[in-house]
Amino acid sequence: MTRQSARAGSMGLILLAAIAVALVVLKNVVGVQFPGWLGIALLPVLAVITALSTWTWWRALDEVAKEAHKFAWYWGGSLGMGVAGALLILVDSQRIAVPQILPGLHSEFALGAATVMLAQVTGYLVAWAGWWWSHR
Amino acid sequence: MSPFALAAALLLTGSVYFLGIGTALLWMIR
Repeated sequence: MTRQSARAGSMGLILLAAIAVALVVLKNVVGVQFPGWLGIALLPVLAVITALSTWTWWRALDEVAKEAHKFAWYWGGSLGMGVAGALLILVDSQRIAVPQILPGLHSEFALGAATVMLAQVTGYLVAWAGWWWSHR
Repeated sequence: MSPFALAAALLLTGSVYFLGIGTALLWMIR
């Protein structure tokens, strides 16, 4: 893994993030109406670029940084799953209302999926920061 | 089962599968 290919992997991921931000801004701020087929056509292309960039980026990471990510996804992600599982039970037994974590009107299905993803990413970020804090 | 619980259960099940597959993959390529 050369430094050049490592940079290519990182640039690929930054490029993807920039495209995502640009699309969201064009749709929600500028008010551009994208045709329905565009998302379906773009999805597999973006998925392949994401997979290749992530692979390159991961191969170029040093062992310490890899360990931080593995620890964070395993423990932080699992902790997030635990929180999401508890929310699932509480919402399904109607003890609490569906958490409205997405802006605008969304289906309950989308809110359920978003709740799980947010819980996992939050757990990951906390665990990742904690790992670096304890290894500083 | 409510749509919220269905979506959450699907993602949690998927996450557990990926946790297993990911752990196995990392074990193989390390």
